[in-house]
Order: sequence, then C-alpha cells, then structure tokens
Amino acid sequence: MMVTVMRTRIVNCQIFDPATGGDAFPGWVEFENGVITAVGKGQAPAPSAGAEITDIDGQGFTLAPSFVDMYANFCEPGYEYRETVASGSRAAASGGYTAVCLRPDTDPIIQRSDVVRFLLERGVFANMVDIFPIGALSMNMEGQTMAEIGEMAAAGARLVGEGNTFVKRTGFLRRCMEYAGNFGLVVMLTNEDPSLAEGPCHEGFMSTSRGLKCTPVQAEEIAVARHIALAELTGTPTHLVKISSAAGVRLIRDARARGINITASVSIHNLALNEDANAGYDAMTKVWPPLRAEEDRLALLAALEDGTIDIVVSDHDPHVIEGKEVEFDLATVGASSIELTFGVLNTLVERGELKFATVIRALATAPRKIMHLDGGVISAGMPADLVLLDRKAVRKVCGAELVSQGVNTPFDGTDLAGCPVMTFRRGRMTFAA
Amino acid sequence: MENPNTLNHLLALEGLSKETVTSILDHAVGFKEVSKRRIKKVPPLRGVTVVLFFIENSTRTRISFEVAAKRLSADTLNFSASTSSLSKGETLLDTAKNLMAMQPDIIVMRHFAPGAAKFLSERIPAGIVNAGDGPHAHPTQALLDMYTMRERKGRLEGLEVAIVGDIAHSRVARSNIHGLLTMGAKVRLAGPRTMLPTMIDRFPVSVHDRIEPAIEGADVVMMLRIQKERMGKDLFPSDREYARVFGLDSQKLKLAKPDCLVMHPGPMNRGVEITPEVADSTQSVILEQVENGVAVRMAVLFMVARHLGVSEE
Repeated sequence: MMVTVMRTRIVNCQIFDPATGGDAFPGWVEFENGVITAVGKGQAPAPSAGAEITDIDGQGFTLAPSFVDMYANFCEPGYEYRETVASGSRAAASGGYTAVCLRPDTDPIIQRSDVVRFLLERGVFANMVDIFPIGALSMNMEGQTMAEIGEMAAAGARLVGEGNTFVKRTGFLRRCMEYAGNFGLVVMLTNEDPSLAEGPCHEGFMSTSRGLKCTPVQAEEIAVARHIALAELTGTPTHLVKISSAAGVRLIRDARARGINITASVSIHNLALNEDANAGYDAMTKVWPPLRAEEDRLALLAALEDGTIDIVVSDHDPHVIEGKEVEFDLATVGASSIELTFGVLNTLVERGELKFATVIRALATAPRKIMHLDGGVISAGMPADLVLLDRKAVRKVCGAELVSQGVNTPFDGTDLAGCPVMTFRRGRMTFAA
Repeated sequence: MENPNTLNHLLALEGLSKETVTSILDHAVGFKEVSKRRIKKVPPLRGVTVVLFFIENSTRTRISFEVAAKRLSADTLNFSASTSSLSKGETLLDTAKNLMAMQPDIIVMRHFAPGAAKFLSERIPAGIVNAGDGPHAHPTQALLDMYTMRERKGRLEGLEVAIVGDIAHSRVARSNIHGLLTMGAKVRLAGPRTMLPTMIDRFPVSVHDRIEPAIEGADVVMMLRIQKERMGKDLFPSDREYARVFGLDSQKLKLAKPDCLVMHPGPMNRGVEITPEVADSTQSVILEQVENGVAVRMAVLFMVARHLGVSEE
C-alpha cells in the first residue's frame, strides 16, 4: 500500500541558520507535521515517488527562524477596543512572529491562574502565535500583596513581571523574585525610578528647548542598579526590559561580566529613534522609555551587537486615534509596532548600523534561549517555525493600514527596507504577503 | 522664502529671521502711536475676526491682545477654558474645529501644553498666534521686551541682557533667548540650580547660579516671576530665602550699568523676586512693557492678517 506523505518545501531561497553563524546560503527546507525534516543546499531534488510535496518558491527571499516577542500588549481582557488576542496575533504573524509574551496590565490584571488560562485559550483560538502571558508580581500591581505566582506557573505562565510599573518597595520585590525563582520563572522588570521621572521625554537639550516634561537617564540607572543587585541577591533569572540608556548598558555589561544571571532587551523605538523625534510634539512619538540622546542610541546598538543586550522587543502598544490626536502632554503613551519590527531593524542593517545576524539573534535565537523554547535553528527535527523575509523591498508605513487595530506609529510615512513575506508556525502558514 | 513683512503664524521666535523680528518691531513703532490718539482705532483689520482662545488662565495677555485687535478694528471673540466645552471633555481639536465654523481669521491661543499652538496650526486653516504654550514659548512677550529695550537703548545688537529666576519653567525666558540671540544681544541666565534646565548652556548664553555675576555690567535685567506654588516643595525653601539670594534689590542693582533697565513680565511678587524700591525706581520699565505689548501685538496681528490677505493697508 502506498502511503501519501504531505510535505511542504520552501525552495530556491537563501537560508539563514543562526546555528551555523555564517552567511546565508542558497538552499531548501522541507517540513512535515510541523517539524523540519530536511535541509539542503542548492537546488532541491526532485520529489521521490509517492511523496506529495508542495513547493513554495522562495526566490529572492531569506528564510530564518521565526521571531519571538517578549514584550507586547494585546490589551485583552479589558481594552478590546484597542487590540485583542486575535487582532494582535494576526499583526504579530504578519511581523514574522510565532510567539508573543503579553504584558500583565490588562483588566483584570494577569494576576491569577484564571486570566493566564483565558489568554492561553484565546491564543489557541486565534491560532496564529503562541501566547505567553506575563503574570503580575503583586495583586493589582500595587506592590503590596504577592500575586499567586505558583498558581499562574501551574496554569502555564513562564514569566512574571509588573509591566511598566515600578515595584516601589525593594524588600517586597526581593521576596517576589525569590518566590518566582522557586517555580523556574523569569522575572521581567522595567527600569525607571518614578520619583526621578517627571515626564515622557528624555531630559536633555531637546526637552529644555521645547519645554517638554522629562526624565533623566539616572532614573533608569538607579533602577537597573537595584535590579542587578536583587538578581545577584536572589539568583533568580532576571530580564531587564527596554533598556534605553548608555548608563543602563554600562551597568548590565559590568554585571554580566561578574556572572550575574541577567538578560536585557531594548525596544525598536529606542534603537531607531532619538530625542529629536519628539521635537515636533507629535504624539505618535510619545513612547516609554523616553527616546534618548543619540549617544544612548549608539550605545544600545553596540550593546546589541556585543550581546550585552540580548533581544529586541516590539513594545507593541496599540491605541485608538483619540488618544493620539491631542496635545503631546495629554496623549497616550506607546506605539503599535509588532508588525514593523523587522522592517525597522532591517532598515538599520541597510544603513550599516546593525548586522543582519544580530537582528535574527535578537528576534529569534536569544528570546528562545531566555524562555527555554525549542527552535531558533533551521535543522531537521526542529519545529518548523520559520519566516521568509524580503530584505530589499521598500515600503512606506501607513498607520491607518496596519494589521493591528492600533494606528499609532512613530514610523508613519517613513520608508522601511525589508518585510516578512511568509510566516510558518509549526509548519502552518500563518501569514503570506 | 520668508517674507519679513508677513507672518503665516507666530508660534515661537525660534527660526524667525532677524529681518522678520525687525519688521515686527518696526511695525509696532507705528502702531504705538495709535494708542496715544483720542480715537484709538485704525481700520486695517476691519471685518477680520480674532478669537482669543485661552485654555490656560490669563488676564493681562488676553486683555492686551483684545485691546490690540480692537484698535485695529477687528472683531474679537473670547473663549476661555472655564466657560468652554473643554471642561466637559471635548478635545482641543474638536473645540477648535467648532470655532472654525464661525470663520475666524486669526486664533490667539494660550495653552498649558507645550506644542499646543503648533498642533493647532497643523490642523486648522487659521493664522495661529501663540500667546504661551506651557513652558515652551511666549513670542509676543519676548517681542515686547525687545521692543522696550530697543526703544530705550536704541539698539539690541551687543546689549548685555540678564534673565534671572525660574528659567526651567519659563516660556518668557525661552522666547527671549531665541529672540535676543537672533538680534545679536548677549544673554546671561541666572537662577538656583533647581531652576536651570539641563543643557541650557548649549544655547550660546552664559549661565550662572548666582544673580551677582549675571547682572554685573548688564544693560538690562529681566526678573522672572517666581511661582509661589513651587515654594517649599522641591525647588526652593521659602520666599524670604529666595528674595535674599536671588531677588533684585537696589544693592545688587548697583552691580549693573548705571542706566540698566529693570524689566519684569508680570505679574510681580513684590518683595520676592524684586523689591518694591527697584520695581518703582526710575530704572524700571515694567509699565512701559505693558504699554508696548499692545503695539507689538497689533503689529503681529496685522502681519498675520496680511499673510492671510485680509488686511487693509
């Protein structure tokens, strides 16, 4: 009896496998039942008799492991008018992602196992990306009572953190971190001492000349120092989310050299933009952490290259237009970014500011390593989580046409070089341009 | 090309050419004379509607603009935050669009948020005159300050101007820095370090944390109003201490040139940033500033109307 095998191949493409570390090579990849079955160089061989193979022509495109976003907001439950797991997942798939970690500050907050389960189920229902809810550390994110971290871990949470909120009591944060360590969770902390923070802009010449409310770099520096100290004290794997300054980079570099168990991320906004983006008072450029000085941006790029900063997050945060079409001071904070991440980073590659290999490491390999996920390499036996990339196509960003429900992007009207053309999650195509 | 005899908007002095600033001041010379006539009215803005759109409270600036508009024969319409739908949750843009339905030509706008005047200028088809946007800019104040200096000193080029007080929160300081530097004056800033904003020394100005070196040999000393709500919080401990260390009294004023002008944008806190003795001295031109404010605002309204093609020559 002949058994018909259903296989998919992506042929004639450039394969970029982070495991080999080298350049992309021309070749093909075959997968079946969500798992990579073969990888070859050059022309794909003719299919053997009895095999039913669908070939996808990848001519002119680069195949890489799909992306994992460790910090995004899909606004559900509670703020479905801004985004839902379904709409956010579609946007993520179109950005080349197959996994997304979600901020806890929904309504209700992700602070009990029921919300964790709800989000996991919503993710399954949307069937576009794997959803990883980030559980809150404290009830109502008030920094007073510990959230049921163990229950959330049992329900499937791998990450905990307080979103963009600063845990005020250092002693309480220590206990939360120790406790989270019990369950093998990664603690994700953002870094801004609120008593130094007076506004959404970087304290520098731009804020001075424009009269904008601002926050000095030292607000981040103090928080990063605290979080490094607590990571050392507790031994819990700690991820510092959205580093924005050269001072933050310096502390992290030093801590890693001392062997402290920390990792770090930077948002695409801080990599691509600096304080000058705020100079025209455009509320679309109002993001957090503040867009800092050019020397900070250059330090972040260097830190990403040398691995001091592991990953890039989208910091996807969709808002309705009503929140942005107002005075800068009154506007909501955040940008809808998940589908633009690759284009923004690849534009930096085209400008010579980043290496392509660094982009793939920051989006695909490093986040999987932090989260202990399979994949991130293109070899037989690995999950077929793949993205086909057009590295040359130039397209103009139009906020109103984003896949996300959010229309708010500081990149509106700018040309980005490169975009995902197809995304595969465990072998299933979740996006095709 | 910028036509120095017209203004599409007046959002800030930053970026305005020396020719345009000079043109505004020159126009104001002619308009100042109007206020001295028995019939204080000229016709160039007949049929022009000027909205005074004041989201942040102001008495003297609003009245000054209103007088200026009326003396040019414009129709004025007052719209302030307390009486407006903004307090009911309407957005700035919607409120402004509603105003536009009344076909105003010029909107004079005061707002607490920096960039608010620019925001509106990009979205509605009217000439926008910024009457203060948060700590960012207050261009007509700086223009009337420069007018007063030029009238008294005969020039702006080379004048040594000290600005003293809360520079960080002052739109008056920012606009004067830009305007005075454009006109070739030299600017010295002074205040407690809590009130000197980061990197202010990137402007080509000298910055001092004491008043004495700033006013030494100065041609003009401009004292900024201390907002009492900041007192006793983070920026300074008490008004008594502020008065002693940073206030202008006749003793400190002796450090300046003998004919140094004393200015203040008002409203003053007598006994805090300035002693009554100095405020009422012959060197003080504080009331002239107010008088010149009307002339300068007439010039600005006229030049914006001319750009819109609605003025009569």
